[in-house]
Amino acid sequence: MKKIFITLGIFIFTGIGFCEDADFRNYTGYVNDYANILSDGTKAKLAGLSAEIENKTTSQLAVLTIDTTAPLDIEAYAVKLFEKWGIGRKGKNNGVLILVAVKDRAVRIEVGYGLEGAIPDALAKNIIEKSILPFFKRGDYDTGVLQGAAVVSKLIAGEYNVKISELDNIKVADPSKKFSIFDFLFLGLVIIMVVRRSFFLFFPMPGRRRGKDGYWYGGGGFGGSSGGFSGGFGGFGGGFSGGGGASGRW
Amino acid sequence: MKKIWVVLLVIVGVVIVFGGMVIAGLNKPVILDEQVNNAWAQVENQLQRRNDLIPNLISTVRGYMEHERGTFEKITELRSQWAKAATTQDKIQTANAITEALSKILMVSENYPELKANENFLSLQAQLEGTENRIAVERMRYNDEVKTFNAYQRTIFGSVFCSLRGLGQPRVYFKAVEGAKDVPKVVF
Repeated sequence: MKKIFITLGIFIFTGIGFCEDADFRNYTGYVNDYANILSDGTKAKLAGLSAEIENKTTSQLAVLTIDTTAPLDIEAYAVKLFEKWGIGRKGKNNGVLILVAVKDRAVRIEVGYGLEGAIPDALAKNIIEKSILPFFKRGDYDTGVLQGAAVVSKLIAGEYNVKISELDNIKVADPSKKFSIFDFLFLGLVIIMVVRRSFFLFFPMPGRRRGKDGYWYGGGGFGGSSGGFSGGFGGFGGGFSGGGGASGRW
Repeated sequence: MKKIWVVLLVIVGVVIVFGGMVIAGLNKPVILDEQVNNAWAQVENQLQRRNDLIPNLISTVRGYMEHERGTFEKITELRSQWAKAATTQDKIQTANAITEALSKILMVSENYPELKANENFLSLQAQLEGTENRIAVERMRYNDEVKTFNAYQRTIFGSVFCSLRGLGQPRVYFKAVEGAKDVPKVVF
C-alpha cells in the first residue's frame, strides 16, 4: 500500500514538473533584475532613462533579466510577457522590452507594433551584435544592458524628435577595447585559482558568480534587491507586440 | 382576472429572456468568425512581408550559391503559387513550403564565408528571422481564435446557431511544418 502511494506521489510530482509553465513574473518597475546581474548604479541609470523616455514620448522601455525562459524559447517568452505586462500605451503599442535570460545565454529586444518603424529587425539585430553581445561575452552585463538601452533610447527619441538628457550619463563604451579592469581582476583570479585551487575555501570572496563557468570576479556582492525603481512609474499601459525585434545568443 | 395577468407576465418574461438568448446566440458565431478572419489577415500580412523579401534575398545570394539554383527556382515558383492560392488550406501549404525552402537557403549560407561577410545579406537574414518570428506569433494568435470558434461550433447550441448563420464548417488550423526549427541533416 505504501509503495503505491509513493509511486503515485512520484507520478504526480513528475507530472507537475512536466506541466510547469514558464516563469512569468510581475513587474515592479521599468527595470526588473530577477537574475541579479545588474549593479544598483546600472539599475538607477536605466530607470532614470526609462522614466525620461516615458515623460517625453509616452513610450515605455522595460528591462527584464531572468535565469531562464524554459520551457519556451526566448522569442515566444518575450511576446507572451510583453502582452502580459502590456508594455507601451494601449492603442499606440509603443513599448520595447530588453530581455536577458542569463542561464540560456540569450538576449532579445522585443519591439512593440508601434515602434517597428523606429527599430526595424535588422537594426535591433545590429544593436544586439555590436552593443550588447561583446560585453555579455566578457560577463559585463551592466555595460551590455546599458549600451543596448542607450541605443534603443536614441532611436525612440529620434522617432519622437526629442532629446533625452539622461543619455549624457551613459558614456559610449567601446566593445573593441580588449582589456578592462575586470579582465585583469579575472586574470589574476584565474592565476590564483590555478596556483592554489583551494584558495576560495580559505578566502571566500564577496561578489557574485559570473555565468556558469564557476569563477568569481570582484565587484562587491549586493543584496538580492530586484529592480523596482518606481520613481514616477505608474505601471505599463497595455501595449502589444507582434514578434518584432531580434535575438542573439552568446 | 388577476391570475391571467400573472400568467401573461410570466410568458412575456420568458419570451424576452429566450429571445435575448437566441439573438446573442445568433450573433456569437459571426463575431467569432470575424475574429478568426482578423487574425488570419495578420498572418497573411506577415507572409506577404516575407514574400516581398524573397526577390531581394535571391538576388543577393544568387552570385554566391551556384549549386542552389534549383531551390531558387522552387521558391520563385512557390511565390507565384501563393498569389494564386484561393483557400486558406492552399495558402497554409504554400507558406509552409516557402518556410522550408527559405530555411534551407539560410542553412546552406553557413557554408559560404564570403556571404556571411556581406552586410546586405546579414541585414536580410535579420529581417527574415524577424519575419519568421512574427509569422510564428500571428500564427499562434490565429490558432487561438480558431480554437475559440471551433470549440463554440461543437457545443450543443453553438452547432445550431452556427449552421443557422451558414458557418457550419470548422476553420482550418495553421499547423507549422514539422521540425521547422530543427537543423536539416546534411548528407554527404
